[in-house]
Amino acid sequence: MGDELSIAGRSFRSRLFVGTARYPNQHVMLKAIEASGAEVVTVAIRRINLQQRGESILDLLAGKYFLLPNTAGCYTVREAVVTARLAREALGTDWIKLEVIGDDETLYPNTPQLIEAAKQLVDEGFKVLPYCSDDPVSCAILEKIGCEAVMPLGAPIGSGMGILNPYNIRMIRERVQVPVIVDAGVGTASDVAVAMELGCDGVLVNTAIAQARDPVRMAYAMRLAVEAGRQAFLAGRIPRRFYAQPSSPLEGRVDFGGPRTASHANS
Amino acid sequence: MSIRVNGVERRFEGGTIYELLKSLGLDPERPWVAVAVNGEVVGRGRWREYQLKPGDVIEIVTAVAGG
Repeated sequence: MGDELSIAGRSFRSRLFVGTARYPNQHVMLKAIEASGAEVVTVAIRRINLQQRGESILDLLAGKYFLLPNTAGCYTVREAVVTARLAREALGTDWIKLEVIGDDETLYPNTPQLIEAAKQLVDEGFKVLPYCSDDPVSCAILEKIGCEAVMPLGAPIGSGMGILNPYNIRMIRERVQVPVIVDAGVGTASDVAVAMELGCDGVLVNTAIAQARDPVRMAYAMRLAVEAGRQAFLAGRIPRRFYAQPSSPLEGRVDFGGPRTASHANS
Repeated sequence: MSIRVNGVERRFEGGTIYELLKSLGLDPERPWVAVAVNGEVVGRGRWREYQLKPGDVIEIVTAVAGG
């Protein structure tokens, strides 16, 4: 329908980004990614295993998908910046999903460090997509310093709790110009639809697909949810109202001579 | 000499990054690998000339499954 997602001058047909971690096995991962229809697929950067070297996950993904490396597991500006540089060298991409984690238990971003790392990486020519808190002010700052998108969390990573603060997500969408991709926290298809109905430009899903009982089917459900939510957003939903409003016309109703209004006194 | 590779102290007879990778049994031509020495990324194009020194801290990384 000509409704492509554009980030840093690049267009994507699918608004669903998927992670590659936590699948039961690589075969299921590949089937699920295929079923999701995603073009953007995330990977992490880690020490190479010197003992056992099998085929790389990239042997399976490269050339078929747009690979987006992350800086998952980084806790400081320096770790995140060096990891981004290693990712650029290893994958030949200047795109980075920037994560600077503040705390083990919540995996919430460390916003001051995130902003500093984003500044440095933007200066070095990276296309920075920061995983950030669902806070309109930090999102606006990240946009201002040159990030190509913002990726607010819907709920803590891997929690599957859905979009905990839809009002914030909507505020973020209204207050920044760059694409807003909800990253983290969705549990099932309706969560994804909610994010898209709020006007988000995309959603990144990993655990909710990978750890579902049937990851391939859930990937397909997520694909449909992204599309349904997007179309609903574009279509423009009706306002919420407290009282009912009849959908059938009131004019031309038959009249059998009884009372025209319901009354508790008559019952 | 002694160097640190991916967090492990190792003996290395000396030489370039390229030679280190070969001595570790890694194919230096293999794609999707990056190397940092003492926190600075050394591009693939310099692996054949970059001489390692005693005490260098080397990280050899690749992409893995991630979210």
